[in-house]
Amino acid sequence: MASDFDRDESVDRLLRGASRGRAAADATGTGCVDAEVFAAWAEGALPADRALDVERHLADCGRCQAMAAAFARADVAAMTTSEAPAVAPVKVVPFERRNPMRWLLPVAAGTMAATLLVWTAVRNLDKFTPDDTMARSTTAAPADEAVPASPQGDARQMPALAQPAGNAAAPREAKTTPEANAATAGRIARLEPAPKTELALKPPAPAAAPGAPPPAAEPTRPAPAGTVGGVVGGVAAPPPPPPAIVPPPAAAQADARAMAEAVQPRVDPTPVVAEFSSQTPAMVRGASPIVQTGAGRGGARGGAAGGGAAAAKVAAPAQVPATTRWRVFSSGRVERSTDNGATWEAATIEPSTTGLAGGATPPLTGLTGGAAPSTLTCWLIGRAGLVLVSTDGRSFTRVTAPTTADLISVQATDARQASVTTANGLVFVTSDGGRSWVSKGSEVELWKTPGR
Amino acid sequence: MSLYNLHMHAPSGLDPSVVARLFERSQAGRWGLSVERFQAVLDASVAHAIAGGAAGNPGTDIERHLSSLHVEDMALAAACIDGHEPAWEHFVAEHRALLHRAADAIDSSGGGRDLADSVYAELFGLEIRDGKRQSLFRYFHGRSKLATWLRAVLAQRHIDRVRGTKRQDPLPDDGDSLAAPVRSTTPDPERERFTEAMRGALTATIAALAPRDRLRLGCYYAQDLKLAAIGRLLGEHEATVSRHLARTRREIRAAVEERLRAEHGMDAHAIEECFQSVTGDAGALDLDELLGTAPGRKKDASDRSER
Repeated sequence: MASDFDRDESVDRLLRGASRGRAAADATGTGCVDAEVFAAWAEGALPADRALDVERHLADCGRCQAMAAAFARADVAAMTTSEAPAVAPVKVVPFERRNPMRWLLPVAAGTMAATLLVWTAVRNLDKFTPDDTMARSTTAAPADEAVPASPQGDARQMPALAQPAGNAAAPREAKTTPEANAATAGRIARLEPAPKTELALKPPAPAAAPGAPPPAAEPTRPAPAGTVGGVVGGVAAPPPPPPAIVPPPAAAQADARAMAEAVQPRVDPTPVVAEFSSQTPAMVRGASPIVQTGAGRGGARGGAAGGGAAAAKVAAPAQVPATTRWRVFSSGRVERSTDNGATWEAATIEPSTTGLAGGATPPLTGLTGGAAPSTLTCWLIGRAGLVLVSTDGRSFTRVTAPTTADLISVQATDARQASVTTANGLVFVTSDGGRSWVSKGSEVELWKTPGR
Repeated sequence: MSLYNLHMHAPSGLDPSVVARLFERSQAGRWGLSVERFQAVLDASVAHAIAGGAAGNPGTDIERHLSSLHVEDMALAAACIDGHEPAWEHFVAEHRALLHRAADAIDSSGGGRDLADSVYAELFGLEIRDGKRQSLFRYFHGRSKLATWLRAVLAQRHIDRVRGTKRQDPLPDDGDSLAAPVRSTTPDPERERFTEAMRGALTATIAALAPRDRLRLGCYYAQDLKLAAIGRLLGEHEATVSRHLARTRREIRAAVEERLRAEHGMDAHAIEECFQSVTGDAGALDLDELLGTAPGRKKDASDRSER
């Protein structure tokens, strides 16, 4: 019986082997797309619905499909010569071709990581049992009961890994090390049980919760004599330095966001297409933090070719408090919150520079994302090369469009420097606040690798 | 009055400030183009876009159309139509080499130069009507770059030439290799049945694919485009194209098996035999017929179910 793969291949052989070229040449070409519309479609400049019509026609019409194929050949030829980007494009070299032995590196790293995990897990299993944790939660161990850790402490624990479960002498000894106390106290402070599976997957986290003792010393570092869990000779040690400010976990942020939305319901019922804070890159819902999708015909035109590398070219945004947040609605409404989402204020967008007679300003739909390098500076991008900048956090000004293609990603350093990525992978950089743009070419070389 | 009506009934009702801004952006002054002439070009472009079927909010569509125009290329094209010498020289310097390269890539049989020259002549406008040269540039409305449009025109002219040539070719003789597929030497009594069943199942399955999937299949199998070229055409990376093709083949295979099972009562063994039999000599199948690109078999888009 043929396997699924064989039958998939048989479809390939069927289509390859089928006769061709007789019927399509006689196609009448009724209702065919003209060169102007086709060229606009090829550049992604048509509205989505019109682009879909063209695509549907190309799928059905042999004559237009042949024209598209001829165009594609010319396009590739032109791109490889005259229109090649000034900056050498990033060559996509298959991983295995870069260095034949490079596959060893991840394998070795993975093996080491797995070994370390197993070792840590088994060691922690021996150190902490639920009973032991419960006992320590009610009574603090006297200082003199503690066995000072020694440089050989870890070495002594290692043989215990190989001992049978019934031999508890060595693990018991290990349980009284400072790191064991600190980790246990940390867990108690977090009111977490100590299931063995968790220990196996997650090594004890540093004590970041309020009230928890400072993190334990490194396992290999010997603690001073008489030091147990921050107590020196029975006298409380000087208070540890205040813990670094750690951003709340994602779940807590989500809760806070939900509470904030409960406080101030959304004015705009349309979906939020992008939401970002002044610390994080813009993220379109459902997309990765760097590469944004949703623009261009077909939904994601070359999204993978997008801003990953572009992001690397622009310096990281300045770190500012994460309380300034932005959200962009599909209706074109842009809102800013300076209190971490509790309240939102609508930003104004200047009357369209391509406004029509009568001064009417249709809503600015088609925004696809943004980036806020500081609390007051924000860059927004959209379809057809739309770029808006705000330097006061309240009003946006439209700047020169770097291209007419749809923009899917923006990275900004400040109000002057930013780079945008188009849906077809081209990157444009400005260093004068959007007055002029320099093309940095395509991030991914699409035409170089032999296809088949 | 809505924006749509405004432009439908008074195409020249574009905001003068917008026209002035676009005029400045286009640098039309260097070709001696007046603002009025440029505005006429803009009006024609807007009218063409509306005639092309602007769905949704017309005001927004016009707004978007104007903001996405390649006005610099439009001004150059208009100046060439008007016979502005420096403009034509500029066009030749910028685009003639590109035209020839593209034509060579399109027609690898050596007719590229001829193709490029004929388009070049059309662009110049050899045909005189009402005392005016009729330049091909009049069909350029700025929705794409001039270079892209030129490639599309070349491709269109090439295909029309090929079609014209094929119409004049004599029909193949009975002994011609194209006339009848070569049958396998071993007679297979089931073969006709298998071929018919496979043809029906494949055609129906491919017709039910999404347009983009069908287009990808057509570009790969019928047009012999490489993955990279398909990727450029569809705005996808070649790896993505490859992945989509593999997925589509999987879907086709599953759907064909399902149809063979449901419509022809074949069991797993018969399905495998059917695949082997038809794959062994697939020449009996017409790819254009399978892909739905054959004339006369073209279905209305609304007939196709889209997934």
